[in-house]
Amino acid sequence: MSKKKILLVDDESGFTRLLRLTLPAYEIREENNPLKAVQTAKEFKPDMIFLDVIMPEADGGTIAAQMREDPELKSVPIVFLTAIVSPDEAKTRHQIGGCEFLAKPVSRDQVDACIRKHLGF
Amino acid sequence: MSGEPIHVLLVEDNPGDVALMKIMLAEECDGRVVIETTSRAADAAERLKAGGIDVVLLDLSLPDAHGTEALVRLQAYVGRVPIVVQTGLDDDDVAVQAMQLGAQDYITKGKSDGRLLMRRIRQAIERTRTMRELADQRRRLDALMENIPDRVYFKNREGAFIQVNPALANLYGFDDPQQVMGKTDADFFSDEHAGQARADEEGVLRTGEPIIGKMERETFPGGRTTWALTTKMALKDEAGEIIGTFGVSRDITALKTAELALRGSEERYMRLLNSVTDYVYTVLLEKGHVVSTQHGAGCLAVTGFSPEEFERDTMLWHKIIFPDDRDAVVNMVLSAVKGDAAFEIEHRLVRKDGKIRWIRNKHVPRRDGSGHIVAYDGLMSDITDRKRSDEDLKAAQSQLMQAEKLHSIGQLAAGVAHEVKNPLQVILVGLNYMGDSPLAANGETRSVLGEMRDAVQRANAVVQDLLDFASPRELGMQARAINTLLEKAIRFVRHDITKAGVKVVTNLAAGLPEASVDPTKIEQVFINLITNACHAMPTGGTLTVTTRERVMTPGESPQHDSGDRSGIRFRSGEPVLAIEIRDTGTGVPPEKLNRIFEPFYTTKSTGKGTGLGLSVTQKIIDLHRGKISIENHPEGGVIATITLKAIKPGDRAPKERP
Repeated sequence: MSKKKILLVDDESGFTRLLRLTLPAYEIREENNPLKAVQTAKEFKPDMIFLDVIMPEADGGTIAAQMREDPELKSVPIVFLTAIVSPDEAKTRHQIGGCEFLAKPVSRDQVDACIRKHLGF
Repeated sequence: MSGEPIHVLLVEDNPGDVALMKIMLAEECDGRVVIETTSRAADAAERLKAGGIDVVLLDLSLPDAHGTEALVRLQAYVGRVPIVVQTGLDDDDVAVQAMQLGAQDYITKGKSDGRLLMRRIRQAIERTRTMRELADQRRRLDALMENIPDRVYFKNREGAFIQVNPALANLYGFDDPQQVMGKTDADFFSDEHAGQARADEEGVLRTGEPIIGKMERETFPGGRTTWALTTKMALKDEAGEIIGTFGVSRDITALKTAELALRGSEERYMRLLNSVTDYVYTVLLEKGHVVSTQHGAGCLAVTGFSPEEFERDTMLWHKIIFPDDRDAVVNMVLSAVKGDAAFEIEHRLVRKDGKIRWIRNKHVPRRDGSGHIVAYDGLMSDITDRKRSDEDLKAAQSQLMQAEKLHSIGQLAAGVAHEVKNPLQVILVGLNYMGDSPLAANGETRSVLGEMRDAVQRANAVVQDLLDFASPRELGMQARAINTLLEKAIRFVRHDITKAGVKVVTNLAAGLPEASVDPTKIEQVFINLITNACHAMPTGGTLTVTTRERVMTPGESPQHDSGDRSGIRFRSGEPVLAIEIRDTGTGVPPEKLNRIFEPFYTTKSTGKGTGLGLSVTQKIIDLHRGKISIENHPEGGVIATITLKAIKPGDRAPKERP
C-alpha cells in the first residue's frame, strides 16, 4: 500500500519541514509559496491538504476556494491551520464548505489524528 | 330780616309824598327801616350801583323819566333788587307794563296804609331772593350738565331724549345736545345694546326702582364697543307720577381695557405658575438661624410631599435627600445661611413614592437695606430626564470608545498571535521531532523536552487569552443546565486539579432551572475560576463548587436606575442561579482585591497567569447581564460567586441572539 499523499501549504518552511520529518508514514509535499499552492496541488494530487490561513500574498481561504472550483481538487479534504481563531474565520469556514480548523500550535500527534480521521484508517 | 334794618330807596320827586311815605313806614316798622330818597331815575341807578339797597320804591312820574321809562333805566338791577312801582293813577295797563319790565309789585298812592306797604315790600324782597336762589341753582345745574364728562340725560316714557348734556351728545357724534332731542337709544346703539337698555328702562318705569352702577357693554353698529357704568332712575312729575327716566353714565372703557389686560396677564401668570413643576422655597432667617420656611406648590410635583407635610416635619427636607448627597446639601444650606453668594448643586432626593430623582438646587440670598441676610430663596428643578440623557450619551460614548479600543486591541492581538504562534508551532513540532530521535531515549532529555513543551503551551495560553480578551463579543445564547456545564469544566481541568493535589467537592442542587447562556463562554468562565482556584492551592486543598437557586432580595437588586450600564440588571423577586467556586488557598490581599478584574493585573508569579483571565471572565458575565464577585472567605481562601438570571418556568427558551 502506497503512502498517503499530504500537501502542506504554509509560508513557514521550518514548520513544514519539521512536520514532514516527524510524519514519515506519509508522503508529504511542502509548498511555502502560497501563489503556487493550486498548481502544486494539481501536480502532486494529494489525498489531503493542510492550508495555513494567514500568509503573505494569498490567504488560505482564497486558495481553498480556488481548489474547490478545480474539478481535480474539489473533493480533496482541506484542513486549515491558523494562529488566530476569530469569528471572522468561522464565517469563512462556512463559505468554503465546512472545512476543519486546527489552531496553531498543533502537535505532530494532532495532525496525525486529523489525517487518520479524514482518510479513514 | 328781623335783625337788620331794611334799606329802602325811595325814588320820588314829590316832597309831600316822600314825607308821607316816611311817616307810614316809620309808624309800621318801629325804626327798622332806613329810607334814602332820590328824585331822579339817574340818581337812583347811581345809588343802586353802590349797593346796600334792599328794595326800591319807584314813582313813575319823575322829572327825567316818564312812566315805565324809569324801569327801563333801572333794568340792570331788575331781578337783583326788588322794585315796587308807585303810581298816582289807578291804571292797570301801567301796572301790567311795569310788571312785564320786571317790577315785583305795584301800589297805588293814597290807597296804601303803612301795614300794607310794609307787607308788599317784604313780599317783594322775599320773592326776589327766591328767584335769585332759583337762578343760582339753575346756573349751577347748567354748569354741571355742560361740563361734567359723565353723560346725563332725561327721557320720556317712550325712551326718547328730552334733555341731554354735551357729553352724551358727543358720544353720539353731535356737538349740540338739541340734535339728540326726540331720538332714542335705538337710533345710536346696536339693536342688542339698545334692546337691553330699553328693557332696563321699562323695569325702572314699571317699578320705580333705580338701577345703580350697572356695568354696560355698549355696542354700536359697525362693531365699536365702549364700556359704561350706568345709573338709571325714574323721572317723576310734581304729583309723583313716573313720566320718564333719567340717568348718568360714565365711560369706563379705558378702565375696563386696563382691567381686561390685567386679568389676561393674571391668567397668564396663573397658567405659568400652575405649569411650572419647579419647587420654589424661601427660608427666612433671623440672626443666622432659620425661623421658618415657605414652600411653593411645586414641592408636591418635585418631592411628592405637600407644603403641609414639610411644615409638620421640619427635618423632612433633610430626610428626603439621598444619603450619599446629604453632606453636600447640608454644606450648601450652611453656606446659604451664612449669606454666601448664590450657587447651585445637583443632588438626588428620594421622593415620597420612593423614586430617586436628580434635582438641581439653586439658592439666592436676600438681604435687608443694611446688607444683612434675612432669607434665601431656592429653586429645585427635577433634572432626572436631562441627567439620564447625559448618562445615555456618556454610556454611548464610552461604548464607542470601548469598541474602538477593542478594535485596536483586537488588531494588536491578532498580529501578536500570528507572529508568536507560528514560531511556537515550529518549536512544538521541533520538539516532536526531537522526541522521536534517539537522544530522547535519555530520561533527562525527555524531561527537558517535556518542560519545553509546557513552556510552549504557556506562551500559547497567554496569546489565546489576549485573543479572547480582544475578540468581539458575540454570544450564542442557549438554554442550558448550569450543573452540566460546571461538570464539563471540572473534567476539562482535571489534569491541573490532580497535579495540584486538590480535592473537589460538588454541591450541585438538583432540579435547577436552566439559564440562558453562551455555553462555550460560560464554560470558559468556569474553567478560568477553577484554574485560578487550583493555582491558589499549589500544595493541595479543597475546591468546593456549589450551585443553588434563590430569589433576588430588594437589598441586592439595584435601588434605582443608576448610570451603571454594565452588569447588574436584576429585579427584586426574580429567580437567579448562584454558582460558588471556593478554594482553601491563601486568599487575595485585601488591597489587591479591588484590582483583580483589571486587564493584565495578576497576583500570580510569572508563567502562572496572563492577567487577563478574570478580565475575560468579568466581560463574559457582564455580557450575560450577570454578576460576579470575588471575596476572601471568612474561613480562609477565596470564594467566587456568579449570579445568573434563571429562566422562569413558562418563559420561552431564548432563541440564539444575533
